[in-house]
Amino acid sequence: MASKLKIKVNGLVHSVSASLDTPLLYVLHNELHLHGPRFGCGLAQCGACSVLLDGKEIRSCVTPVAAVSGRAVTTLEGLPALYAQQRGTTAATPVLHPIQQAWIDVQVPHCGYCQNGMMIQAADLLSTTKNPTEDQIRTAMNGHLCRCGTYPRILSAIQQAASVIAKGGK
Amino acid sequence: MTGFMHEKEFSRKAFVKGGGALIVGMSILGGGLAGKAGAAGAVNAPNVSPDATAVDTWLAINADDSVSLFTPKMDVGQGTWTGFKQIVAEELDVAVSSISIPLWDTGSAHPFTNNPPSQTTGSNGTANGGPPLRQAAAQARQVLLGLASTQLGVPVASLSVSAGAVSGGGKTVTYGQLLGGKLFNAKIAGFNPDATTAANAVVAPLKSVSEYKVVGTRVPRFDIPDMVTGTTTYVQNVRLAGMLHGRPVRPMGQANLFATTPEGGPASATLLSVDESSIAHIAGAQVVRQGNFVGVVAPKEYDAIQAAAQLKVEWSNTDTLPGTGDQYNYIRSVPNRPAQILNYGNVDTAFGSAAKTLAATYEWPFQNHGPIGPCCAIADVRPDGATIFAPGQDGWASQLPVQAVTGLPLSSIRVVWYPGASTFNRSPNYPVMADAALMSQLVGKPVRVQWMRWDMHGWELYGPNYVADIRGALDTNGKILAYDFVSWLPPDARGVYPATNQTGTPVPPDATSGSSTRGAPSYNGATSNNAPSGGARFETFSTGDQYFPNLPNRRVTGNTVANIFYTCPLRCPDVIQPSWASESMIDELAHAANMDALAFRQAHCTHNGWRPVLDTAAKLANWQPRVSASQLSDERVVTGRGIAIAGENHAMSDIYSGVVAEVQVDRKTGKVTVTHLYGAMDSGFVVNPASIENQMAGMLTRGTSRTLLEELTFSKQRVTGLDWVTYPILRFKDHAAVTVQSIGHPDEVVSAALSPQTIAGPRYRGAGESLEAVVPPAIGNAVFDATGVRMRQAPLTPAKVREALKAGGRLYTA
Repeated sequence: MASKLKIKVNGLVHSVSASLDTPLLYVLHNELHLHGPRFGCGLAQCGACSVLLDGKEIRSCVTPVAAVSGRAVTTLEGLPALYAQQRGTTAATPVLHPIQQAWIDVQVPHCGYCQNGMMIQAADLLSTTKNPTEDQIRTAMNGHLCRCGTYPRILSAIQQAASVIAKGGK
Repeated sequence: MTGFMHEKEFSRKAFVKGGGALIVGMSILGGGLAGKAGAAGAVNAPNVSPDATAVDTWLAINADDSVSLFTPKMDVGQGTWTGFKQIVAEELDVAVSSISIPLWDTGSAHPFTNNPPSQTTGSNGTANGGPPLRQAAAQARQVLLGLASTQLGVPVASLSVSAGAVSGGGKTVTYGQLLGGKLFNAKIAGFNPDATTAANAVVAPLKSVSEYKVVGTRVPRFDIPDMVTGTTTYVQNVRLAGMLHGRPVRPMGQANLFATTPEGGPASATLLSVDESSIAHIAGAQVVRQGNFVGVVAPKEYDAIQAAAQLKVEWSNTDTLPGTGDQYNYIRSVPNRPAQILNYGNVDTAFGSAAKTLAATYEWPFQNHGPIGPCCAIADVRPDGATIFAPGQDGWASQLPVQAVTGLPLSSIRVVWYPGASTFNRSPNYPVMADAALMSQLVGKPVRVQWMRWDMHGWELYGPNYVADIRGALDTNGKILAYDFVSWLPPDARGVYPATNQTGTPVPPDATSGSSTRGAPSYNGATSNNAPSGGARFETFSTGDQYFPNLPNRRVTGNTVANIFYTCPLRCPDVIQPSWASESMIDELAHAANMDALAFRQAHCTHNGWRPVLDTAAKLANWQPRVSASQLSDERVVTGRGIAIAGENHAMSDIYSGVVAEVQVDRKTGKVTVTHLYGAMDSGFVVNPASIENQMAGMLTRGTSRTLLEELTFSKQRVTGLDWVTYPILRFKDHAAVTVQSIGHPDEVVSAALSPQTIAGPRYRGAGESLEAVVPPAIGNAVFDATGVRMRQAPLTPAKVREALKAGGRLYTA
């Protein structure tokens, strides 16, 4: 049975109509028309659906929409604004999150389908671990699957983004 | 409201990026799709491939000086379209950033060409699509120079072009001013892909390679910024007004598709009962049935998912599969059609006189394409025509599964392409298109189907398994005297899909293969007259005549065996399997000859395609010569290195690859860790080295996954590897460092049309899959060097390695 809910996504509160057990992913995708989080397995095995919930990576494919009530959801689309907020800047058009810029600079994606979760997880990592070692990156990213073989470039891109953030961002 | 929003988005995108071609929502094949006054580009009948010899089929100049490029091939993450932009920018003298690729839509006023076929497989994207595009751009430039000469009153010879502006006599005019929004109305001289003899017409002159400023440079992929900001519209994001969400309901995992029940139907999909009341509590959910096909539709996606999960359905169960553990015995025992592919010298006599002989069997499992995003398609089937929104490498061929289930004529089937998740070959998308089209036809509304993870793992078209028995003989000088290769391989099952099988729909001829019965039930008698494409590939590409130019005695026998699953090409199809077998055997022969693995290959291989990749991979890895496994360690964790080469041959693209693998093996657990991979690939004239290097890094990583982990598991009844836990792939922690080198050939230029299909100019050969085929034997050879134990069955899981170590007395037991 559909219920009226309010959820906060990328800084805005949205009214949505969904049954309480509907996974957040379908609300983000079908009601809010966001393209970042996407369906991969529905089993929390691959990470294609990842979003940040109060800054921590979660799997939106297994998280009931009711569980995010009163909390802040950030999707890939919201990373630039989140980064601006983390840096305390108020630019009208936020620059890309260093993770996103590094993904472009290193030319990470092939098909790009899994990269949403990769970038969300990497943003989570760098928000808590400023200068991660290679082992820390490998461990943090281990729950995200890519089928095109982009892991080596993701590793390079995270290292580049960490270095940018360490220098105060840009 | 939801559907309407996306409807608008679809229309706007098509309009803005469509070079002026107007698409009105979902109206099919009607006036809304006809040419719009003032639109650039050719006006053609929808769903009919336009004249490939017309410049307008390939390019349009828009009034704002931008260029529309009507791509002949699909790009699924390889960077092919960025390369196409570079090729056009070079010949046309425009900025890469001024070129856009309109929405790929066979129903627009400007359908994209299917000549060469838009199906992008066999690494043929740039190889086959680049040359006609290049020639079209050169011809377009000639037309524009002619117009500028007239307008400026300056002879063509005195004109110069820069960034889409023509200058001469102190005046300048832009391409947009000359032709914006109008047609070229010109033929591409010398290009006649339908001719049967080589063309001799005078062709528009190409830039000489020495003048190149854009081709050969590292232009970043234009599609990546949208991917990293979440603004790419994947097919999974497309929404239509009034659309329902559909899910097929099938047994969890396919059974033996080609075994028949006593009643004559396919064993896996015999429907015994459906209890529609079991989903009565889900508002709006509806069961859709035809024959053995069962699906559900609902307005809300999660309701459709719930309905599919909760619908009570009973299926027949029969023990018609061999089970994973017995698959290689089974493949030898089922009906097969043997073919002698090569036989020269006298193999049997040579083995009798050899100084040393070896014999070994190599085995490769069924593997999953397994896109991270399960395949998705949106179909709108009406009595007079259908539209399918579909991803993938197929282009025009996406009409085929829709035709198969709806019976509609091809000219009434419109295909709109959006990107999807990588499948690394064509067919995993087909079954989903067929499901969507069938359900849309049955409910009379647009239906979006995205398979669930267990549908994808359980019902896709797998890469086939394989067995090879190889014998090798050495002479007294350590050279190969004779090579005898026998292999077993199931054919592709393209042309049949679960939906056609379940509904008993006759399968129309597959335009891409010219056949209708690949892998179909009738094939089980091995009496089909349809030789599989794999027939020539049982061995010859991994150890081809090029590799072994002077081998005196050689025999290759290929057995095409009856299939048990839906199968289709999977990256390096029918190359990765023989490469695994043969390059492992070559390593065994090198060891038997007491020679270094690199030196042994060098002693046999002089070909100018194979040899450079061998030497380059070795150089990248700083290869130190020694006989493999000659320095075994008693430590628990031991290290080793292995080398291998492979090649891939297609009509237009022969590609060579070499890999060195460095590994660690834990002799207690059996776990193999690949620490570093070095890859060299020769793909001819390189349009964009950065794109190729990115593909190479991906292929090395993906090849590691296929070598170490990937094996489709199945019981006697059905497939059991239904998700990423039961069918594991390489994880981030375990990926190797990669070092790659693309070997380019800036001098590789075809000077004249050699055949109707070739076009003079730089020869691009392709780069999308070859390197992956070399990774398995390189890793296996490295494991041998580290442990002295030879792995002959993939994947190299800890359990299999431990078993082999134990059998070889090399298990660490302290």
